[in-house]
Amino acid sequence: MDSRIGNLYPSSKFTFIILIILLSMFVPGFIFQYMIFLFIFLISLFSGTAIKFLATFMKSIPILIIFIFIFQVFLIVNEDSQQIWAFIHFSQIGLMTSLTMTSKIVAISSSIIWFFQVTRVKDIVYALEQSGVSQKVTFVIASTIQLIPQMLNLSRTIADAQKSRGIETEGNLFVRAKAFIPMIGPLVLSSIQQIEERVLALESRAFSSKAKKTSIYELKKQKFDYIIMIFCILVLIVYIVWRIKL
Amino acid sequence: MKRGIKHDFSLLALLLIPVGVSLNVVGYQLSTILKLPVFIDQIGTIMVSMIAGPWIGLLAGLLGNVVNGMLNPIAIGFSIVSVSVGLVSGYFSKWRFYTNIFGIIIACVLLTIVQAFSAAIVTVFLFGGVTGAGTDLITATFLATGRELWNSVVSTNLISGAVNTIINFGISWLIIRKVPDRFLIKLNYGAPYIKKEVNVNG
Repeated sequence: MDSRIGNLYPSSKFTFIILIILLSMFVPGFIFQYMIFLFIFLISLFSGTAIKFLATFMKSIPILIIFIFIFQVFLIVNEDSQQIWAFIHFSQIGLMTSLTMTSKIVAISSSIIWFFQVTRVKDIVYALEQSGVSQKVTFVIASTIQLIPQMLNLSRTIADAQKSRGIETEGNLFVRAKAFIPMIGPLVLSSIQQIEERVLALESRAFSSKAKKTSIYELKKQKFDYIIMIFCILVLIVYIVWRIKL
Repeated sequence: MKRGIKHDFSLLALLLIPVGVSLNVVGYQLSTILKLPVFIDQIGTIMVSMIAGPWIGLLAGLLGNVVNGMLNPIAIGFSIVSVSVGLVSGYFSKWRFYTNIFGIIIACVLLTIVQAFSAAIVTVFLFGGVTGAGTDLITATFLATGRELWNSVVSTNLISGAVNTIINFGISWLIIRKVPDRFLIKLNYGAPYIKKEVNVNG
């Protein structure tokens, strides 16, 4: 995240992502979209997140793509379906649909993965605040992202405590399902108690005050940010004009 | 008590959103640890929408999927499902469906339908009938028997959605019974779940 790209202003990266998403939705065919994946991979090499990028990408997307191919090509009956064996068909239309569909999924999801890997949540929150989003919204976003790992830790502690008191977490389905409530109940109750305390703490620090607040964390737009913004908008305009003329 | 989109966003209710979202994540983790066959990943959304109303429920659902989408972008596509679940379940809470058994049954049925159809729309239009989860095998079976894609996806979602809704709702309902009254009374939609009638005259 400390790379050149990681230090860019979030909204310029966001404009870039929006451009890529728009282009991959409206450019016909599938070659361009698959090229985008390679392109994003190259950028993530530059930003030093290539390994993380591939790991996240491989975890979720390939299974989905394989399933889409199986469904569209072999299972769904189209007009040109030819029977291969029992319920398995082969369809050219299905192949084309799955190619266009998966290419879009690959392009859009890889750009989203990349965006969140090179952008700090702190930066996103700061940029949102600067662009006039209410502080309540940004606070909720920031505290959600902080709270999730805390709650996961707490749930592990509670699970250990309950196990040491003799709750069975192994056995048949019913036994395992019964363990769910004693594990999640204390978690909710303790976090609700925390909420009450947090409300008091926030209010005593004038959280609901309408006055303009300053931030101790600062992020400045660099020259490069403006270049990216202008470049993205230009590309979009050129593409639209080109499509209309065609 | 004043309710509606302008009055629901009290600080207390807003702070419930992160808790709801993390509950979804924890529920999902716990169900994988306990090796349960269904993913209990909507407890937070349903619980928050029950006690803090439809709009907070909607936000909790949306934010949960966006946060999940940071690691798995497919989840962003499905945010419309949790958004509609949060919204609809919040309105049921507003109309006091959850205070009697008939209301609960009707609410669960309607929630299942809402969930199934919104999930089906996303799966068919964005992902060609696939979700990348184990339920795809059911859809594949339906397809193999010669049904159409829409039909198969909706049937799959109705089956898995019914199980999911009942479990998620059941757990959040059980949890809410344990939430202290002094907390429920501060929330706009918490009043129906308070255990004893308060007698003002002594």
